[in-house]
This record gives sequence, C-alpha cells and structure tokens, in this order.
Amino acid sequence: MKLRRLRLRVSTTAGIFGTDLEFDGGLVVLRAENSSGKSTVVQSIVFALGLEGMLGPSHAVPLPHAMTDRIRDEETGIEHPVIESTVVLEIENAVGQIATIQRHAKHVSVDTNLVTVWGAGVLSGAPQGLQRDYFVRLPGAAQRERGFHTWLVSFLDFRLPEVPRFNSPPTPLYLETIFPLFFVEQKRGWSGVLARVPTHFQIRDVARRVVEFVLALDLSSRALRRQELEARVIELRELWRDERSQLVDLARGVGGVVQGIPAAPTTTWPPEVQPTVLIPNGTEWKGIEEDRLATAHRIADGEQVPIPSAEADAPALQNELPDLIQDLAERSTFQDALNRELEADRAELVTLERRLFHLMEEQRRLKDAMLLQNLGSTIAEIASGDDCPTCHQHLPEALLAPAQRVDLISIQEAESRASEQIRLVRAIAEDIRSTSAAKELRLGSVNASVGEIQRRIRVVKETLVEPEQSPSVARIEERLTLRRRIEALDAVELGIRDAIEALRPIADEWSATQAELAETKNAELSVDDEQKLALLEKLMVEQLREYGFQSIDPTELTISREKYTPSHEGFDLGFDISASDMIRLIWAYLLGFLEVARDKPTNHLGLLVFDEPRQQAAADVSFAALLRRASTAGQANQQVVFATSEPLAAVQAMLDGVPHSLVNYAGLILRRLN
Amino acid sequence: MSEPMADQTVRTSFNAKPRNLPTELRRNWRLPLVVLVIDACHGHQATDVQVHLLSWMLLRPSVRANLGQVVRTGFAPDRSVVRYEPALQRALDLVVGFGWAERTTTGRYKATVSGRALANGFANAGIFEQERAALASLPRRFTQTDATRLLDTTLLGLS
Repeated sequence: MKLRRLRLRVSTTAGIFGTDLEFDGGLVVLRAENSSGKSTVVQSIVFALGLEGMLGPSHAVPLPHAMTDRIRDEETGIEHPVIESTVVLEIENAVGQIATIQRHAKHVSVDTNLVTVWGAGVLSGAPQGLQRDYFVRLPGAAQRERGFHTWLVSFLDFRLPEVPRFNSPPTPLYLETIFPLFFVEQKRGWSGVLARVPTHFQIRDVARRVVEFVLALDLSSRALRRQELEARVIELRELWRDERSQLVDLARGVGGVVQGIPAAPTTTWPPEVQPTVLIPNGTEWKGIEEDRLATAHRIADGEQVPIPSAEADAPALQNELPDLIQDLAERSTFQDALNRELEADRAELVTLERRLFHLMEEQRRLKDAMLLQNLGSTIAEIASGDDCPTCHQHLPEALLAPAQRVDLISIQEAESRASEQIRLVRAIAEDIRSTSAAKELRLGSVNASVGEIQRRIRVVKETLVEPEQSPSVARIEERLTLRRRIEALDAVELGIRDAIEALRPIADEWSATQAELAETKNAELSVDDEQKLALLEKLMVEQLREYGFQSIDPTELTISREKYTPSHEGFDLGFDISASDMIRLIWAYLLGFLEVARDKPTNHLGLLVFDEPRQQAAADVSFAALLRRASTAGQANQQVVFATSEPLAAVQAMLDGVPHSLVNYAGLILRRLN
Repeated sequence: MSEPMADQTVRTSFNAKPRNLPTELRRNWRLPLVVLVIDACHGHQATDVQVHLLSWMLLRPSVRANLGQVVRTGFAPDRSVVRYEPALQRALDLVVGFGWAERTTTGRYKATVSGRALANGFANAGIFEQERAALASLPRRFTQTDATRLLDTTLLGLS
C-alpha cells in the first residue's frame, strides 16, 4: 500500500484551517518543530484507515485537540473553536488501484464512524465517480459487507486467517493487530518490539499470529487452508447426509431399513458389501431383492389365470380366510412383544444415561485431581505423601481406609478406566438406540401388515357374499396391491443404485480433504518459513551493526522460532539492553520485515511509518544510518515515512546523498487556508 | 526330561489387584475441594454444618447446577438436604493437619493464608470449574444463617 495524498481540514468560525501533503515513493521525511502537528499527520492516517483500535480500546477520536476542540491561528495567536474537521486520505494498492477515504473527526450531523470511499484519486484531481459509505469501529466492521475494514481487507488483497480467542468464538485477525508492524506512533509505539500489538481483542497468541501473517509463513497459510478444509468437511457431511436421507425415506415407504451406508462419509466407497435395503419378514429380515423376486413370482403366478368369478373363487377364499385370521393373531402377538421390547430398551437407555452422567462427573473430578497434582509441591505432598503431617503415621490415600492396607489405582489409571467405561456405555447406548430404531421400523411394518391383513379379511368376506357371477374383488385387490408393491420396490432399488453413484464423488473428495487436513495440522516451520526467519535475523543483525547497537554483540542475537521476536541466548531482550539500543532494535526489526518482503513473498504492505523514530537520544550517527537504510525502499517500490522534529540543518545533512523527499514545515502544519 | 516335582511343596501368594476409588473418597481430590468450601463461606470460615451442607450440595450435579436458586428457595420437601459423611469429617481433619485451615476458639474451621492461596490458585489452573461457577452464583458468601434456613423443616411445612 502507498500513501499518496493527505488532506486535513478544520472548519472554524474564523475560517478553514488545514494542510495538504503529497507523499512520494521511497523515503519521505516529514520534518516540523515539536508540537507543530506532525504527530497529527500520522494519527490522521491511522484515523482515516479506522485503525485507532491499534492504539487502545478507547473509542475516542485519537486526534489532538487542534482537530477536535480548539485550533490556534499561528498568525494571530488566537484559538478558535473547531466546528467540523475532516481527514481525507488517498491510497494506492499493490496492483495500482487508487482509492480516496474520507472520515470526519468532528461534524455536526455526520457520525465519526462513517467512512466515505471513492474508487479514484479524488485528491489528485480524478473525477469522484462512485461513492460508497461504510461504518467503522462498530461490531461487524471487519466482517459485514458495509464494514469499512471488510472493504480495506479486500482493497489490500489480504486473506486474513481466523484465529482463536479467549472466551469467545474465533475471529478474523483484525487489521488493528497487524498495522502496528507498519505504523509506529510516537506516544506508545516505541515501548517495545512487539509490545504495541493490541491485546484487548482477546486473541490468543496475537503477536505470533500477526508475524505469521505478515511474513506469510506457511503456518499461517496452513491455518487458513485448514479453515477452508474444515468448512468443506462440514459441507461434505451434509451432502452425504442428504443423499442418505433420501434413500432412507424411500426405504421407509416399503417398511425397510437402509443397510451398508454409514451415517458419515467414508474414505472407501463403494464398500465391498453392496448397500441394500432390508425389509422385515415375520421375525426375520430379507433383502429387497428377495422381496422383489417373491412379489414378481406372485404376480406372474396370478396373471397366468384370468380373474375368476366370485363363485369360482369362493372355495379358495374360504380356505384362505382361516389362514388370514391365524396370521392376524400371530402378528398381533408379535406387535405386543415388540412393544414390550421397545419399552425395555427405553428403560435400559434411561439407566445407561444415568450411569453415563455419573461416569462423566467422575471423569471431570479425576481430571481436576490430575491438574491438582501439577499445581505445586504442596499438593504433590498430599498426592504422593504417605505420612500424616501431624502424627507421621501412614496416611492412606483413601479417606475411609479399611483396616489393612489396600493398594489403590492411581488417579491417571482411574481416569483412563472412567474414559473406557464412558466409551463402553456410549457404545451400548448407541447400540440400543439403533436397534430400537430398527424395532420401531419393524413395528411400523408389522402395524402396516396387520392393517393389510385386516383389509384382506374384509375384502375376502365381501367377495364371499358378492353375487356369484361378479369378478372376485379379492383377486383384483390382490393383484393391484402386488403391482403397487413391486413399483415401490423398483423405485427403492433404483434409489440404491443412484445413491451409490451419488456418494462416490463425495467419498473421493472426503478422502482427499481428510488427507490434506492431516497435513495442515503440522505445526512445524517449513523450509520456506525457516528461510524467511533466517533472512529477518540476518537483516536485523546487519542493521544493528550499522546503527551502532552496543548492549550485546549483534551477532549473538537471533529471532526466536517460537515467538518470532529478537532474543539473546533464548531470552527475550528487555532490561538487558539500553533504552537507545531498544529503539535501534525496533528500527532494525521492523525495517527487517520490510526488507524481507523484497526477496520473499509476504503480506507486508511495503509501507512503514515511524513517528519520531529518534527516541531515547539515539545518536546522530545511528539516525543517519537509519535514514540511509530506509532510503533503499525507493528501489524496491516501497515507501517509508518518517515524521521527525530534528533540526532542519541536521536532517538535511543526514539526507545528503540519500534518495529521499523532504517535506519541511516551518511552523504549524495546520494553518489558515485562503 | 525331569521328573515332575510331586514331592515338593510350592508356596503361592496372591497380591490383591489395586482397587479403584470414587474421587470423593480420594484425599488428593477431596481435600482441595474442602479448602474451596471453607474459603467460600462467610469470613473464610465455616461451621461443621456449613461445610457438610455446602459440600453435599456441590457434590450433587443437579443441585450444583442451580446452587444460587437452591440456596435462595430451599429444597423440595421430599429431597434430602444433607447426610452425615465420615469421609468429609476425615478430610476436614487432614485439611487442618496440612495447615490449610485451623480450628478457631468457637469451633469453626477457618481458612489459613496458605489455604486461601490454594483456593485462589484453582482459577488459574482451571480446576473445579463447575464448583467455582456454582459458588460464584451465590449472592454472597455462604453463611450459617443460610445453612440454618436450608435445614429448617418448619419452612418446608414438615413440622
């Protein structure tokens, strides 16, 4: 990202105050006296980008009173109350797109959380074109379509990873956490290397996440890919479930259950044993193919003879009737037995659930007991000590100990046993649930068949009292029922074939996704990651030598592979270096990220803004070395902006022979405009 | 091939397999919980009744989940409030022995400095989460008045 132009406007009763700045590429030095408003420039850029969250959790406008309260007229010395003030910032992204952002710091009617964006360089004179309004510093600003940071993330072409938080659901890595690596503002920015990364967003390991993202470490992209894959896993589960449900519904229509299609996707498909539908047949289950064959035979047998008359059919029907009545009695008995079995299953489930509840409570307590063992030496005494602290007699682990000494299993073993018991009880409960479901289905089928037999008995009785020459209604009804049945069975068989085919691509993709997901769980640094960190280390050490870092031999400094911060002999640098060396370290570290981006693919913006980099009386020679080093940004199409209050002559001397652009303000930056 | 050793007497011994024990009877779980209970009472001290009652309530998940409500409104008439628990009495003795609580002149158990530090350390270590959440749901620290009210059968209409 490049800064192109900045416009500040302050409206008062005495007229308009403000300034316009144009930023070149490479090194830009903005020089003005102390308290003349150069921090206002840096803070205005932060404000325009809606990034004041990087300064702290406050929602107050982070601009000085000259933009929000009273502004001093340099010519007259009079302070005028501010009526309205506005910041307009023109920026350019990596592919040359330009946008202009406007945000009011104070306005009578417009909320300061409203940001207006034009897709053109309005400050450069381009036609305004389409204007869109967004909101910032309100919930959803980074995720909703009209959130300004949603737009900014898209403009910068960032793919932000989702990161875990303390006590809240995961969130995209906020821009406010990333920008402290690109912007160092004067008041809070120089207190430590990554101390400025805001923690009030409750993101776990936020500093690490930010560095992983800015350096585009494979860890970060792996995390991003893992999110995508986990989302796809959920989609694939749903697709599988939908396909399976369709077949289950179809099978239910013929009173059958689907066998051989698991509830969740599997990596091997189709299975060795072809999925099928089982249909209850008395106390047995038969496959759908067998049922269809039997039905087809019955149809064929029936169609070999014409429909007989009621008189001709009477003997057969009279023989059939007692069989039907007997069949009805047997099925009713079977119905009762099934109902009793289901009742027993329900009772057993209640018992198992109660047992599971107690086991889980016990497991929770055992886990607490294990944590207590690690809490400290005092607890360890009661965990492992055998002597009473008072009488020094043997102290059994059990509070109610039997007369003779009994060995008890350890907490860890007790927890393992509890886990195993929980698994067992869950497996038993699941088994009971699924067999109950099958029994419910069978009961439904038996109920349906009882209804059919009752109807058949009624039809047979009706036929036996029909006029003798009329066609046998019983035979007609029988044939129609068989035809309907075979059509339904055909539909189910077709459904099975369709389901097997439809599940094939889902299973293939599931297999590939699971394999890739396993790879993304690798938490080690890749070769590329190691190279980037090694380069950052090298660049940091190089710069520290140039800047005159003295507290420790720079060659002894490394970049920690755990925290990605400068370290010495495995420890973070802090109190063991001087204050001015800490400043040099911050220069070297942040400039290091910028320089890594020249040789390696990263997510660095290619922009660095330092507000008053010469802190803690860092020596002239150090600052001059910093300016020289920063000026190389121009060759790499990067931009470094330094705001400084160093004396003009000194700055000019340091910049002699160094590619740069110098913007010098002789007085206040915010001045009355004609 | 050797002869069978028919004439030799072989001694066999059996070692009992280690047994499992419910956590409420294990001192390394129960003692810290007792410290937590004492610390949660008013003035970081508790009578026997307070300890037994609060301990009993925390050990029962259905009561623990609604502890604030239960302490405020009491138990249903047919639900037991507390039972005497010898293991808890033993745990109290050991808590005093280990210096996490002391007996006051009025016979109460009072959490010592180390006992209070131990109880405070549970939050950082993520121990007794449900028990601590239940105690946090109480409007104030558990008092003897609360205990007396819960045990008052006249309020339940039973006497």
